Amino acid sequence: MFDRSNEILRHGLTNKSFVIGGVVSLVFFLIAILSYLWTPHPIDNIDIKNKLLGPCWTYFLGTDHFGRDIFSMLIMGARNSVIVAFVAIGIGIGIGVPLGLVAAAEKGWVDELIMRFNDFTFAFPSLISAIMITAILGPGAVNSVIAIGIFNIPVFARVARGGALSIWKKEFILAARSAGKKKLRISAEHVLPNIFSILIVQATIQFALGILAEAGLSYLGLGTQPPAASWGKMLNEAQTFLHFAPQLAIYPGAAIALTVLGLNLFGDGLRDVLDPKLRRNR
Amino acid sequence: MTLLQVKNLNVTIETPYGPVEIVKKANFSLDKNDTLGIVGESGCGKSVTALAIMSLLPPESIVSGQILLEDQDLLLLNEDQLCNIRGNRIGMIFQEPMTALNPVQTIGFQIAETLMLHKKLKKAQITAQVKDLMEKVGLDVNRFPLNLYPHQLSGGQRQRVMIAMVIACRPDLLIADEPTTALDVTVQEQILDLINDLAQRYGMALIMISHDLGVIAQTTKNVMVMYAGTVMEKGKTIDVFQNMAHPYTYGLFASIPKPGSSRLGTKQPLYSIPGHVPDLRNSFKGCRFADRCFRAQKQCSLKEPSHTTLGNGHDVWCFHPLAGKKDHDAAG
Amino acid sequence: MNFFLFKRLATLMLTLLVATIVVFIVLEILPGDPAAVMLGINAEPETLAALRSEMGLDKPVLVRYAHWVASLFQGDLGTSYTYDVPVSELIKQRLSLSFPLAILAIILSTIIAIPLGVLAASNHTRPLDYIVMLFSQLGIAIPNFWFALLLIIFFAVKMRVFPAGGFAGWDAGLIPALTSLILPTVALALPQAAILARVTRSSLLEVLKEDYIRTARAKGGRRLRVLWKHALRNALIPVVTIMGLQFSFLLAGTIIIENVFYLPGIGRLIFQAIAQRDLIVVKNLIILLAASVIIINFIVDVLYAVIDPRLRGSDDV
Repeated sequence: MFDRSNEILRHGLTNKSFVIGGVVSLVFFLIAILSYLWTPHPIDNIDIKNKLLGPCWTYFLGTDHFGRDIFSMLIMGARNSVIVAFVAIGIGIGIGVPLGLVAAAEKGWVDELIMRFNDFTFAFPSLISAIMITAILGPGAVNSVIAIGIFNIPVFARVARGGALSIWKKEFILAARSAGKKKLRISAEHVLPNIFSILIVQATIQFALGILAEAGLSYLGLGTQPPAASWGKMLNEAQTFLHFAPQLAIYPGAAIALTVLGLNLFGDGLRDVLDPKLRRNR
Repeated sequence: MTLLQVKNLNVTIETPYGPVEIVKKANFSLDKNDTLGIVGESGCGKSVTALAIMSLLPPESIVSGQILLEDQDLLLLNEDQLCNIRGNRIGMIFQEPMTALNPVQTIGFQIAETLMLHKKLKKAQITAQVKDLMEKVGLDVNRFPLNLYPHQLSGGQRQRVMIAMVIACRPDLLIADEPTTALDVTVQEQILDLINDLAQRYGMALIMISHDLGVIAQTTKNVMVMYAGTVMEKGKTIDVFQNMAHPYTYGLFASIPKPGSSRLGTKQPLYSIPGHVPDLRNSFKGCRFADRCFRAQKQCSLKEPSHTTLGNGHDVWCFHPLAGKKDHDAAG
Repeated sequence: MNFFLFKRLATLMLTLLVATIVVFIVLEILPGDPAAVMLGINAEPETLAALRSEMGLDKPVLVRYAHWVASLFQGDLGTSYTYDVPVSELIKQRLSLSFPLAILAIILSTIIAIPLGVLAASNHTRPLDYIVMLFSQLGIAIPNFWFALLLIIFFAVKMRVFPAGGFAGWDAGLIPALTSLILPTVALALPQAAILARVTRSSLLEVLKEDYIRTARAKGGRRLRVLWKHALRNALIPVVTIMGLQFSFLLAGTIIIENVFYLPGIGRLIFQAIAQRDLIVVKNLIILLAASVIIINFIVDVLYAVIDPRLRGSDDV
């Protein structure tokens, strides 16, 4: 195991996407963690006298229409993105992966049923789910987490099923079956560890998509609510001031784009590093 | 009259490990209406030689030497000129009829395309010719309408479609690269007969590439034996088969079971050439077969083997060729 | 009708049925009393009772469900509580903006993406390939609503060539109407094009390695002709899948972009309806959106069979 991680790291350091994407993603996570320890200013510090300032020494990136520090809000926004995307992936993996494993193990009508359920869930993009949830519960950060999580379920189910199906054909599974192990136990003990790497790669991609979706929902007012800071929310508020302070609309968007770009590059790189067979053409 | 002359053909491919010579100093020629077999194990460079003639090698390969089709050196032509030759003057039948036909185009279109590319014909004329070609390759148009897709045909039928496609413009030279390897044994014979028959009927010269000595014996008058990218022996098929001079050729023959031979009767194990095909990434100073050769001496792995002429166009590249029955018996 | 089509059709019907059940449960049963949700806590008892009977809430659940499904088939979706017009009228009116917008975006993204993908694949490992890949990475990472804001800042605020939002309406004439749709179309199409270009490229690179490409070249086909006649059609099979999957993103995108540009389309309507708690409109809009995703996926399945004759199945010899 140790040798393998060493090898992955050695491979990885020669892969540009992996290194660049990894660094950007790492910085993003560190900033999110930093928000718990320190922000230049409290984000609910309203200072109307100093509203819509440009960059200066007190406020690195200036202030918004309430005089809040943009830089601090960006830091808090990173934390918000991480939490929403993480929990949504948790929902996706927690429900999707078991479904995929069972589908692959049982085949037949169980498989058919799970896959139809999958197709069905695809028909409800996270935005539509979020709209439905908002319609009955009212807007809130929890909505976006649930809605994005629901959309993650079929994604992970499909990836887990695809990976598991190929593992089930392997000989060591046959050995485990002839030893009398139950299908579910084989799935947990033998199949799951072997599809771990494709799940990690998919999680990276879903993480990036989750950040995009959260931003979109918050922009629309369906997600994170004030006073909590969210990059999408910041863009929503900035839109009113496009004529006087277009810079307000630049920073949060750039933060989203850079983070998603970094995560996607990292995911691409990780896939190449973990599975050299897939390296072609990507 | 000489149709094709290949002089000093070298094919090198750039790899992460450095350049690899996959064909080295190949020399051969072919007359109009004549037939040539190229035989050897997989990876010996026979298909690469054929693709070099077609100029269809992957772009990372470097080709040097001369490939003369009548007076034209194909290696000097530009892509546009080559397109006028491919399919028109040289046609090539590929090994895998399953994958060599486009799955989303009808067989009618795929046969017609050769005509559309090279002949200025009206639509009706093309359809008539395609139907005619189908009959010629033994596909009844009533049973196999032109709007069928490849997946609706069997392997043998697909190979017939492939042949119809290739002979559509009556090329001067027909190259068949293992045309029957992927087919059922029962169909193989029919396809070989068909290729032979059509080549004779339309005066097309034929290069038959195969690892199967039986196929070569059945379809060609001349043969060239290749090993690890180099030519080992060539001559009239009958001469080479009866008086094989290269120890490698001898090994190839010895490793096919012969019905009724004394060897089967005495239950001697089937001969196999010791060792493995060499890794072409290694550099070779001498004969590429030296490591596996039962007649090899010191000089064989140090110097490139000299060329010995045995008369009647029978050439061998070996320091210690087998000479006549005495050597054959001794080797057996 | 062959078995393939029959099976797909049956699945389609079943999926649509399940979708109606889910939407019905979430929006009619889970909230308890939808009429109370719509009117809020300060509602007069008489108004509440009137709305209840208008919505048929006094009837048993199954009857309400059956009545709703029947109304979906008849196109009579009831009357909007806030707008006081038939919901079907409302949807029809808003669709006259959303539908052209989505179609324009699909067309634009396709005509950008497929040539770019082909260009990248035919220049594989050369600078042009890397430029296309960079464009594609950026397009995937940039959220469409931020891209829309950037377009507004540049073209509406700084250059003043296009309006920053709003819709002139089709009655104002084709040119003003289309002018107000230009920025939204671009904002929707470019991020989609980035994904599509990437898929086209990698799919084409795979196909160009196939034996039948070599066969076509051996016949004397010129590079471009082979690419066009033999490679592209095979390469389009995965591209069509992605376009189908993208439709749901496009739908979500349209909803967001309409809100960025204040366009009175379906996406804006659904938000206004939520804000006003008009559950009658919300319910019908959501089933409309979900059904359109389901139906598009069905069409993509059938399109496959048109592109790939191997999937047609029934006409095997």
